[in-house]
Amino acid sequence: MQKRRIVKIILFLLILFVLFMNVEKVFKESVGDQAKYPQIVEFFDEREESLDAVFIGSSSTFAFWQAPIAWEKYGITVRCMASNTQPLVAARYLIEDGLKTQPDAVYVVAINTMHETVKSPAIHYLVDKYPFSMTKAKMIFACADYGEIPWSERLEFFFPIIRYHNRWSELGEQNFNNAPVGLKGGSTYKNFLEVATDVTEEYTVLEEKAAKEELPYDTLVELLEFCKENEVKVLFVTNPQVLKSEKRLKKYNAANELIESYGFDTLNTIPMIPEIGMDLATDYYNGSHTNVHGSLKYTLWLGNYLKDKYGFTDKRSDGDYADWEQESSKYMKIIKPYLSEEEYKRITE
Amino acid sequence: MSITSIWFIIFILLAMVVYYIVPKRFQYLVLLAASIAFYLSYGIGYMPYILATTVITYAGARIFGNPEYKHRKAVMVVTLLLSLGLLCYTKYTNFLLGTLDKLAGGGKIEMIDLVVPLGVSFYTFMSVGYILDVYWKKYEAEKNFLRYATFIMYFPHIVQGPIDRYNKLAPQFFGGKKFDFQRMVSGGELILWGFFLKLVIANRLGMFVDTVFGDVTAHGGAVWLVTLALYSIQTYADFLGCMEIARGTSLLFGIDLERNFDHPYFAKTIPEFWRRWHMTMGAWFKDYLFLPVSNSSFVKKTSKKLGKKFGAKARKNFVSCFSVAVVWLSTGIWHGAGWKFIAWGCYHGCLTIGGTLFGDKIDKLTAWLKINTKTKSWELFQMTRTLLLCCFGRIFFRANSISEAFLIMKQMVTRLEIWKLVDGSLYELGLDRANFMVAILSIVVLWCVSMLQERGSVREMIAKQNLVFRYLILYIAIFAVLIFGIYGPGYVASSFIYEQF
Repeated sequence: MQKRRIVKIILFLLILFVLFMNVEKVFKESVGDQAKYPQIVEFFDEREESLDAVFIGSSSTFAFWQAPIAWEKYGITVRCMASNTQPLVAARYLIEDGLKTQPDAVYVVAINTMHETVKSPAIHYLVDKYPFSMTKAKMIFACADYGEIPWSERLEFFFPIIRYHNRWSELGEQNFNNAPVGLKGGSTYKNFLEVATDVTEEYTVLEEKAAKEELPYDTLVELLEFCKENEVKVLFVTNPQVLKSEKRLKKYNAANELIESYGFDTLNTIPMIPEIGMDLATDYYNGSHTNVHGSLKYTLWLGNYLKDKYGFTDKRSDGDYADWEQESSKYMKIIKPYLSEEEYKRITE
Repeated sequence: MSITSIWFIIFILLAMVVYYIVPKRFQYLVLLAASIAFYLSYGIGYMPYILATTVITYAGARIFGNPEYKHRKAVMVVTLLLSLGLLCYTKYTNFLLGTLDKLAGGGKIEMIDLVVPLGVSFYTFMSVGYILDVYWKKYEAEKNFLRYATFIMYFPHIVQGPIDRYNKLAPQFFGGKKFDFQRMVSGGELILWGFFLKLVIANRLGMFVDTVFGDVTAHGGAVWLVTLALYSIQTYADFLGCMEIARGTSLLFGIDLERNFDHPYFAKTIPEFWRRWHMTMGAWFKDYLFLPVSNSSFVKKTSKKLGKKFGAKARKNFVSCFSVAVVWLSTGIWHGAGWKFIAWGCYHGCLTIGGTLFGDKIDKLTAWLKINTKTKSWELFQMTRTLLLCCFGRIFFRANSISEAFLIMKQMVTRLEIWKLVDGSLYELGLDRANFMVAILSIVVLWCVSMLQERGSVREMIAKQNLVFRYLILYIAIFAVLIFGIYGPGYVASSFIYEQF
């Protein structure tokens, strides 16, 4: 009798769990543009020890870096683990999780969002589709602590249905389609493909540095200590955003100095915009994000830099990377209509 | 910690684990500790008041509980005054000062910064019931302070009642409870039903009601009729939902709380409605106010004089009507510090007194009109009449002031705007079409469950079904609450309506 009862309880809870997970999945799919940014969830689908590098950062990262383009040009596998306004405090945990499947990869960490305060949506963008692990739990608490999000509001990061359940009247076909996007994280959203804004006026380069107190010092130090302790191959990048804010530019300079003091490499690409060949009149859809044209130039430039610096090999003829070949060509077909013939040739030749 | 939050579920699960692990003689201490933790979660500022009430009433009852003590009555009166004094001080001081200030021309008397302790009306009434019962020697005063404190602070009934009696509830704390699977299922089902009532029905209807009451001049009679009907259902679902969560939670600890509702909207008369709505409050007023007032020397003397002058019927009517008036005035005041609550109490008092005075005449009229009162249609008419009278009274209850209540009544009469029922205007008042449909469907579910409950326990009916059907019902209920419940960051969850009393 007792045994039967226990079996019944387990059965009930098991079915409930399965139903819950599926229902929650349906509701998560309706979260605006997030469905277009499969940077996190598809990262975990990558074969173990198959990536040359992992690019961690915010929306600027997935706007600037297009993994399929780098594959098409150099045959290197560098994919993003990025999400909108991703808090810098999360980087340490993303590396920790990344190391579980990609222990030999180089971790490229963009520090562009280090100035941001952490708000609830930023954590949602990061964790909603993130597979559950203790590292994820620690990351949620670290982000929430940093953003001073009350305890009563933290449960929704573990159970996003708390936030999204009231969208039941907006559900559509896309909510029930769980097929992966399969573009190796290549961006295809409207602004990225279609919009160009002249940001020439906003471009500023500074050499002054902010005071230590203005930096998220503890967060940076914790990240650097973690990387040092675990002997992570890491490169700290400042993506080439076009900024007017002197405060932010000074912070980037100070942060890079701190990072270098720990013996890590940095790459502040903001002063290198002319060298990369980016056109401020046509290559951005806003100061913080490039469009497809700017992204193409940056990806080719940075891809070449990474390949040379870390000795990444060309894997295009390796059968194990057939998925890269397939998904990259799919991505190339999508962006081709938006590129000039010359731009397209830069990738393929 | 709201009792509709996931934190509350986690809290009761933890409390349950400890409760069933510790030796049985210490189980009540787990309940006391959990109750203190629960109460503290609302803020430490409330604690001194409930502690003061508990200490005062415990100590007073210990003294006058001794039958040989000479000054029993004096100590009982002092204890009663102190306990009620705390309630009055925290709840009515500013109301009184405000009224005096208005009479003095305004701006002359400053209000006092006071907190109204959570559940003060409920625990004060429970302690007053205890004091009077001990004084009337219904049972002995509790010797163990911690046991008495467990009764007063017991967390499932502290927020909104029910207003429990010591002799019925306390023995359940101290008997020692074994883990009972069937009781757990039953408690869980009650909690789930409570969540459905509160989150799916009450909170959803609240969005509509709040929008309409947010701008009282903007709406005509038709919208107000719908609003009052929905507000009546909202109040019912809200209060019943809380009661079911409280009863379900209590059941998890093996303790049966009093029922507070018996399908009030099926009542055929106003007195019957009040025997079915907030039953423990009604019973409290009957035992501790109505009967003492009816048997008081003033009422006895006055009714005797009236009897001599106008006959036995007048004597009987005076006793009944005077006591009813006192009860309803007190009920109004108990519900809140405001003239609107007093007006609402007077309204129900008048309806009850009217029923007493003119009941015979209405019966005669019905007979003269040859209306068959033994039919379902007559019962339906009676239920509808009672419902409409209650809905109307709720204008005072929900409006911000008496003048606003009268303004609403004026709007109802002068601007009917019947077309607003069909032109889609209703969907612009806080609930869109989809949410309106969910609200209606949920109300139908509530009505069906209520009908089934009239025939017996729905939980027992479910328990008799096959496993697949049982699971199906539970899954549907769980996901209905999860998906259609109004909660979470997109919605500022309203507290329970009765929490403020």
